[in-house]
Order: sequence, then C-alpha cells, then structure tokens
Amino acid sequence: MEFLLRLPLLGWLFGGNKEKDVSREAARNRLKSALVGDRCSVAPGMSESIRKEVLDVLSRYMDVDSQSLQLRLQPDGESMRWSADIQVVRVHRQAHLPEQALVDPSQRKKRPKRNLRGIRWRRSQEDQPSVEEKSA
Amino acid sequence: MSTMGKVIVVTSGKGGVGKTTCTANLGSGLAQQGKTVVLVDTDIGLRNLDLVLGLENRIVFDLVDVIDGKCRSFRQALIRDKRFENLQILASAQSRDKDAVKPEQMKSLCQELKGAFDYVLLDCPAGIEMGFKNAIAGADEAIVVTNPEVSAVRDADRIVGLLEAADIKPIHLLLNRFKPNVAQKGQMLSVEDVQEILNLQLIGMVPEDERVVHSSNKGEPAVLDSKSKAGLAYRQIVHRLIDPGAPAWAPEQPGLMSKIRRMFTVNLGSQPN
Ligand SMILES: Nc1ncnc2c1ncn2[C@@H]1O[C@H](COP(=O)(O)OP(=O)(O)OP(=O)(O)O)[C@@H](O)[C@H]1O
Ligand SMILES: [Mg+2]
Repeated sequence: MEFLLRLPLLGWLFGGNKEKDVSREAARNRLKSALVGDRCSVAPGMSESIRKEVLDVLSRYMDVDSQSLQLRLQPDGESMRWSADIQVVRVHRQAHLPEQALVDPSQRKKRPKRNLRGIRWRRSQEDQPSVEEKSA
Repeated sequence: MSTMGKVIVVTSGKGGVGKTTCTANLGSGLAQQGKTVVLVDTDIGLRNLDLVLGLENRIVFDLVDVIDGKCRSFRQALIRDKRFENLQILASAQSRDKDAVKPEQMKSLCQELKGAFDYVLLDCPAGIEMGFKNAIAGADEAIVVTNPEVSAVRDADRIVGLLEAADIKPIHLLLNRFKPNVAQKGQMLSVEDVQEILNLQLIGMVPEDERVVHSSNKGEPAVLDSKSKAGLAYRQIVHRLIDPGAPAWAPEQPGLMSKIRRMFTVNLGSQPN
C-alpha cells in the first residue's frame, strides 16, 4: 500500500497531506514540553507550601529529618513529574498513629487547588478545566 | 443606564499579534449592535488605537490627563467615533513616563467607566510589565489574543497564568491571523491545537486577511467591511460577547478534492483526530 502512495498522482489523489511536511506536529510537541517547563518554573510560593504540607502529613506517620526533604517538579515528556525524597528517622508504630492519619482521605476537607501555571488557583475557578494536575 | 457594564482587557503577552486591531474591531462591532462602548488605549508611550479608528486628529486629553485630574471628568477626554455616536475612545499618553499610572488608579477609572458604558475594552500593551499590570487591574474579563505560532502561544500561556492569579474570568481565547489552508496541510497549529494547549474557551478565530491592513490604513475597521473574512469573524465574536451561547466559529466547508481524499484515506491509516 505504502509504495502506491509514493506514486505522485496516486499520492496526491489518495494520500492527501500525508507525505507532506507536517510541522504542525513538531510545533505541538515542542510547545507542550516548553509549557510544562514554564509552568514548573513559574510556581513561586507553591513549593514552600507543598513542603510544609508534606512534612505535616509525613510527621503523622514517622519521624523525619525535615532538613533532608527534597522536592522536585520536573517536565517528564508531555506531562510533569513530582518527586520527593526524605530521610526517615523512625516510623511510628500502628498504636501510636494519630487519629487524623486514619481518616479516609476522601472524607477530609478539600484544600484549595493550585494552578500549575504558577499561582494560586481560587476555589471559584474549579469549574474551569484544569491543566494536568499530576502534582496536586 | 443603571446596570454596570463589563470591563474586558484585550491582552496577549507577545507584541504585534493583533490586540489593537481586535479592540478597534470588537468595539465598533459592539457599537454597531447598539451597545455603548468605550475603548481605552493603555499602551502608554505607544499610542495606536486612535490611528486604527481614524481618530488621531481629535485628541485633546489622554489617559494620563484623566488619571492626574487634568480634566474635569473622564468625559472631557473621551473622543467620539466618526461612525457610531455610542462608541468613544480614551487615547493613551504619547510622551509620558510609562510608570505615570498606578494599578489602583486604573481600577477606579474602570469602575467609573463601567458605570457609564455597557462595554469597556482595554487595549493592553505587550509584555508582563507595569503596563500589563495597570491594564488588568480593573478588568472583569479578558480576551487573550494569540497567533497560531509557537512563541505567541507560549507567551499567551504565561499571560493566562497571571490573569488566573488576578482572578479575572472568563478568559476568552481569540486566535488571530489563522490561515485555514496552511493549517489544513498540517503546516501550522490548528485551532483545536491552540485551544487544547492553552485550555481556554475559544471566542473566535480571525483569519489572516489583507483587508485588515487596508482597513487600518484607511482608519476604518474591517468589522464594517462586508467583503472582509476577518470582518465576518469579528462580527461573530461580537455576537458571542453579547450572547455567550452563539456558535464560536463556522469551519470552512472542505473543498471537493479533500472530501474525496477523506473518503479514501479513512481506511488507509491514521487520520489526525
Ligand atoms: N487578521 C489579520 N490579518 C492580517 N493582518 C492583521 C490581522 N490582525 C492584525 N493584523 C496586522 O498585524 C499588525 C499588528 O496588529 P496590532 O497593532 O493590532 O497588534 P498589537 O498586538 O496591538 O501590537 P502591539 O503589541 O505592538 O501593541 C498590524 O499591521 C495589523 O494590521
Ligand atoms: Mg497595540
């Protein structure tokens, strides 16, 4: 089939734009990954508050060395990857779990969403479609 | 007029994508529909809007005069359009320091203006500096103008982040200078691509049209030119501004040859979308 489409007339008639320069794809892909990078680097207050909340959650389950916490938000292909790394001193025993930690996460009060273009995402804007919220 | 009007900022990030042209055309289109409209050129030092509308010889007072209280009220500085008496413009200052205006001052001016007009359209300067901050300070809604081109879309994304942070909504996407035949060949971002990447509601697509340049040359907006394709697109956008339920854009009817091609290519492999 492929070789038939290479014949100029048939290619023109049936192949349409298939054989032509499709710079659209390049534009799409390059833009998408550039924007992922932009949106990661533009978030100023975000990493500080994620840091606080992560330490808050972790400390309900284990003793951690808060100084060693490393958070990273990076482009990963078309989407973003968020990763955290921390030194654990000691994990709490089940009996000592604070009550909060046992609550089903879906039952907890929702926190305001964050906007990955950088800045705070107000509650009232939740009805707008949001960008991939991998890190939320 | 008792109800409050709407303040809409026309912005883009990247320069030269068509903000001033859009402001002039949408303003004229809204006035043609009987709305009371004021257009404010907030691009201090780079006055342009007056020229596009052919009003450059009538300016006495400008935006900075109003803010500084050099005239009795904003009304004294407004210039009435040649064609529509319900369309007025407030010109920007030509020879002033760019930081002559503060966001708080713009905010209260917008508040006053929307008490007197149905629509207040703000023509925003390019960039994300002080001029941009001033322009968005009093805005309720935004129209983000972009071209189907990587750098313009990227800058638009940056602007959208700042608009969202300022709680301005809705943010409408206006894709300007689109070339349907180039996009159809896969050599340009499509309308859907730009919309998907920016994740915004599309208010309209304005095709590349040399009549736009002729219109600007003559100081007569293309929206009033019945032969202009861009003019038609502007009229559709005007309808959508007035009634958000109106259709966004009518896709061009595909030509006979591309219909035939499509019939044959469906089974031959992957069709984009
Ligand atoms: N749809 C169109 N088709 C053809 N030319 C267009 C179109 N829209 C705008 N232009 C042309 O593009 C040029 C730039 O437009 P305009 O001045 O409106 O951009 P701008 O975003 O206001 O620029 P700046 O950032 O400098 O203020 C003008 O020459 C204008 O005539
Ligand atoms: Mg301009």
